[in-house]
Amino acid sequence: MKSPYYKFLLGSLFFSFLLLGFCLAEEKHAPQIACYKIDVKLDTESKKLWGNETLTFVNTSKKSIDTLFLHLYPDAFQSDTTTLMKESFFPDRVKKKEKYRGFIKIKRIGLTSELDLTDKKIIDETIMKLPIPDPLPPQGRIELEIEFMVKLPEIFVRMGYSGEDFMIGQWFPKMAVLEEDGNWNAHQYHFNSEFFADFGTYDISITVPLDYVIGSTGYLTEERTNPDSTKTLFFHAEDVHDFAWAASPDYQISERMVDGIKVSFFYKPEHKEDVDRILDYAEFALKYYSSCFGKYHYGHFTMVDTKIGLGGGAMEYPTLITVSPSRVPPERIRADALVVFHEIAHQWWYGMVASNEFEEAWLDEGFAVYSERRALEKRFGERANLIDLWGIKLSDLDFARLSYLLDLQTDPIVKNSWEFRNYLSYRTNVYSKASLVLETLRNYLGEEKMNKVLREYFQRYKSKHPKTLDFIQVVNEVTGEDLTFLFEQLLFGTGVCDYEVTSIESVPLESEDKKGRYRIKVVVRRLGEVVIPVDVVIELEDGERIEQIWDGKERWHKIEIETDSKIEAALIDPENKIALDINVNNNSLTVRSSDSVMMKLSTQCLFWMETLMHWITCF
Amino acid sequence: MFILSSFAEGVKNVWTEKFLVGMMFLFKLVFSLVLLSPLYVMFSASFATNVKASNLLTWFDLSLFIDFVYHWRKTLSIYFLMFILVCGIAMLAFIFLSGGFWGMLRDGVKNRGQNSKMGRFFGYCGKYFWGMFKIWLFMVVLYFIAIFIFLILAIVFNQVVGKGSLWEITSWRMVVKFLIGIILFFLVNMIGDYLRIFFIENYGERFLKVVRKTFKFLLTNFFRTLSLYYFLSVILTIAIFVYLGLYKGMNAMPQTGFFIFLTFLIQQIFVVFSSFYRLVYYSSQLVLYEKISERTVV
Repeated sequence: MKSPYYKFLLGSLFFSFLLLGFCLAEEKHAPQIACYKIDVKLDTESKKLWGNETLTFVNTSKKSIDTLFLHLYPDAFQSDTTTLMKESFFPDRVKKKEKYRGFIKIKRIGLTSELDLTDKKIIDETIMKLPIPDPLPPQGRIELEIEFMVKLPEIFVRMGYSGEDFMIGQWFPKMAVLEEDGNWNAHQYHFNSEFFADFGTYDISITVPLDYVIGSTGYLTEERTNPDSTKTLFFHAEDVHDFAWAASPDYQISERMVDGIKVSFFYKPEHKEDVDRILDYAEFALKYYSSCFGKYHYGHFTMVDTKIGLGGGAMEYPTLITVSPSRVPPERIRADALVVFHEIAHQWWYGMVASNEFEEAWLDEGFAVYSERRALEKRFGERANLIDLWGIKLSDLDFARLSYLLDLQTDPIVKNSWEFRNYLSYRTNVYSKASLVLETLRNYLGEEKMNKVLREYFQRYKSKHPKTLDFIQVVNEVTGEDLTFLFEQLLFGTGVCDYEVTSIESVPLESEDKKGRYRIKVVVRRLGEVVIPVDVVIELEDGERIEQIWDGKERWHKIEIETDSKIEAALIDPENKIALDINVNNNSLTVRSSDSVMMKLSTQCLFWMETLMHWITCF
Repeated sequence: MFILSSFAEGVKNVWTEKFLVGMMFLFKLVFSLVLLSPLYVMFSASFATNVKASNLLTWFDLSLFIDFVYHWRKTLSIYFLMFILVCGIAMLAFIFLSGGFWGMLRDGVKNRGQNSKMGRFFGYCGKYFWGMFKIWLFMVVLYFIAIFIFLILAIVFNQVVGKGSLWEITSWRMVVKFLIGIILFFLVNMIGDYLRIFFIENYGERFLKVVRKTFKFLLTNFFRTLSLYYFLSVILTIAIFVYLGLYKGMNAMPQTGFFIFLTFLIQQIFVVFSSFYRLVYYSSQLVLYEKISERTVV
């Protein structure tokens, strides 16, 4: 006979488990618009995926829809004439190679097992249109059942195999984004473009040979061994907008808890000695970005060691990044730190704030470069945070400026990714110039206010799809100033910024009452089209400093002042606040002798030339 | 003893023909000044009146140089062409001068001085130019072969001990590979020096015959010739380390005109020394050759 004591004990136990379950389950942050349940089997011999997908989609627009749009990204590899292949900068002989061929085949698609819509689908390269029998009203929910097969290419652009290893990204039929006005935001898989999708929950079961280890988005909930020498791993991910995974028989796992986040690194044995370093970088970045921008809101973060290649060795997915430890000395060339800091920054600006990378990639990439720079500066200092080798010191900021100077005026920053003139222009604007715009903004606002702007932007648009204008609005609100004029020039224009000190002069005053005084004349010019208010500093021989602000609206500006001392130097933007200034060498003029500088430069160069001549005598 | 006495006599001969050191130094200085002049003009236009250029006194401010390169990019591309051209001309000039150096040093070893020094020097320059040019071409081929051998050895080495880190200069793998490279470089360089010795000693003979004789000599006296070369190189390495120490010390000083001038002096003294020492290489090997030849004849 069971006593009430037992009942109480069982009840308490049940209640405790329930409570524990609630505590462990992650709090849902995002609207659940596109949720996926996929059972997929990886055939490591034929390099194929066989999948069954159940996709639940909610119409969050204000209109009824009668057609669904889905992305079939693997079809970008079906021939050398697809949009992705045509746009890629690889030579034709590479694109034509059979090993880079891949595709997705929709074997069956329907609303239920009875209602088959396979014949109704219309496939246009990487976009599938699916007319549905009954229009889906606003807030209506639809469930699709899809059976598919993916032939994987050898890793080429982000997805594929390399030997026995697999990097599986953009692999399943994936819902396009339905805008509020009822229009679909669905674009082909372009070479310059990354991705855009709605949030949801992913339950993915992956069947692989027994010896394979998998690192993925989300976390592992269960692992089962099958009778046919395979195993099935069950993964769960919430509040994410994509699911990627990597599989290898060689993976070893190293884990670390960072402020309640389980950080895992799936690494190859040859990178064993790099593990601690990579985990240290990840720990630093997660903590630093959380303190600057807002909390990382997942309980897990995974890094997978994949082959270096386009996107193979440095790519971001929700709660997952790919990292391939470099073979350069890490204390001299911070390539690993750069990759880890950059890709982890994406967790904020792509993962949690899901901007549209098709149309406004700078909101992700530019922010990630800016964030990576902050982290590199915090960790390694300002001057040589990227390279400190054999006397060559290069900072992330120098690198961005160098990249920006390579292609100044081809395109504006805000533009559809595939409409940039070429890959160089895309990278220059979306990565380098965009990060320099944010750098300039930070220099004007100060570190604290800039972090306040970014924190507000993150909090407001977490789990949403903000646009450029949303960011500008946040900046204006937080700063209390209307800086729209600045963003209009820098984000939507192709003008450059270049301020110059043109001339400096001290004229002694002749009149009796002003004997011993001087009229100082300084002419400054704006050589570029971009107008930014700028500081002008005049340094006098007696050590006095006169500071002025020039609004920069006119093409040139003359400052005339009467002083007791001659001018020694004039500087425009003396603190280099305008990171976009394309020539800092013309930002000052001095009457001070710079013989030492010229002497040092010349003697040093002379010695290098003489050393070169000595090498000639060796032949 | 053979090695030490060859080195001592080599130094003595070069000291006797001091003007050769002056010629070698002048060669370096003139071509370096030609290369420096356009750069100086560009530096002046960018940094002479720039307040921030003072950064360059204490550290290599890349932000200034990024803009320098960008704004002089068109001129720099022309400069680059000029650079290649000047280097080519310098190479030809050195091939020309090398006949004089070798001829004069050979006379020094054999005590054959009779005409005026300059007359003899340029006489040898003209006389040996074509032969020296052929040797230079031959050397280029040898260097390519050495690079090829180095790559094969590096592949074999990687297969046996594993790749390691590409840039990890502190790793023993890199040290071993560096040593293999240095040995090959020295070997080719040494072959070149003895080719020149055999060429001037057997002037008028067919080139292939000279090559054959050189290789025969090197193979039969491999240990002695290589030992002298390595002995000379050890001293040079010590000198380089001394210079680097001094240079580092100077850089740690406040970068005033005085210390910059002092650094310049140290650099130029090192250039003069390296010119002197290049000739010591030639001369010591000539002495060694003479000693071995005398012994063979006896």
